[in-house]
Amino acid sequence: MAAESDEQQMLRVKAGDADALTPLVERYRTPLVHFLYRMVHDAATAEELAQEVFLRVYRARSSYKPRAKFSTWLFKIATNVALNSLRDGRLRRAREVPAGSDAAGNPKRNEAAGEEHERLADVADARPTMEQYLMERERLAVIRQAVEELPEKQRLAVLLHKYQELDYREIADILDCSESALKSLLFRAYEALRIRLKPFVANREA
Amino acid sequence: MDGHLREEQVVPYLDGRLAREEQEAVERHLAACAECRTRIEDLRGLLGVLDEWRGADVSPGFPAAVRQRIEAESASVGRSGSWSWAYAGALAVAAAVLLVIIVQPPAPEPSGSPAEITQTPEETAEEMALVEPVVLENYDLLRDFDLLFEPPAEKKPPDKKQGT
Repeated sequence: MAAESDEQQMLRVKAGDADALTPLVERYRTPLVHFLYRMVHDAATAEELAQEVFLRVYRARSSYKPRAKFSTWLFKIATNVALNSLRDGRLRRAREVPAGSDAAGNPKRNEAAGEEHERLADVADARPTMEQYLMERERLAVIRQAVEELPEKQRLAVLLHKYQELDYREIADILDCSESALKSLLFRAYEALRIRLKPFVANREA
Repeated sequence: MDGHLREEQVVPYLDGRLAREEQEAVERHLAACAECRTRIEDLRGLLGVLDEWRGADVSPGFPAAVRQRIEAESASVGRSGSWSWAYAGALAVAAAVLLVIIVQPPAPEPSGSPAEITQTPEETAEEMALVEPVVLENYDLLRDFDLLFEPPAEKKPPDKKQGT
């Protein structure tokens, strides 16, 4: 017997079988939390928002129509949840703590995300020197900052394409644009990143 | 292929998602165009750099947390549903009581001074007339009904004696 598709499982949720949501939560929790983490830069907040996304999926079950892939619908909800969360300013204020900000209130470039620090610290023992650890930390902070500084739509396109590996049709649906426009959007985003991260790209190629 | 690669060709080429004919055309162009070749190589290197940014680990209790939130919401909706029915019931009872108060004529007061109780029949009739005034039906017709009015007595002209 063939495994049920995401859409079939969601239709079961719609029909009143709340347990049918469990496999969907299992399947999508990691990509969803990763996506939200890259949007909000805080692991605990990303998990909380991911829970909120599944809660919204459950609330919207009666209106669910399998017109598109379930993942498209899920990431569209996740995108809205993340943008709303960022726009309400709470997360931004939490991230821009005075110790990590310059006089203009902008985060310093060497202020890496706390979660990345912790993960690097976990594996720091495997690294030969503290200097290398700090360089890695700095490097990740610069990459993160470069993506964060992209215009909102370009940033979302990169996160959904590069990290979530959704197909063009899905990303275009989530961002409300044509596939052709999405391909151009992605090109411009990667071009901007190529310029901003040129030293890293050059070192990699050397 | 004229000029350089088009914007919308670059990322699908890197992803290996171009149709075979287009893929071959792009490769022919890259073989001849150092500028586009360098750009493609740089972008490929960039995608490798971006790989270094890993996602966050998900806590093992995540599915249970989602389930709890859904159950809490379902329970909350259930409670709010019961509350709504209780509220609607109370409102209906209140409306019914109000209706009875408005429609029901005032009941005689059970206690009072003897003076108030002992009313003459005339007084009672006057009060009833005030409470339930007589409705004159077809008032227009009755107003012009001559029989209701006594016609004014006709004055007889004084007798005149005709003088000669």
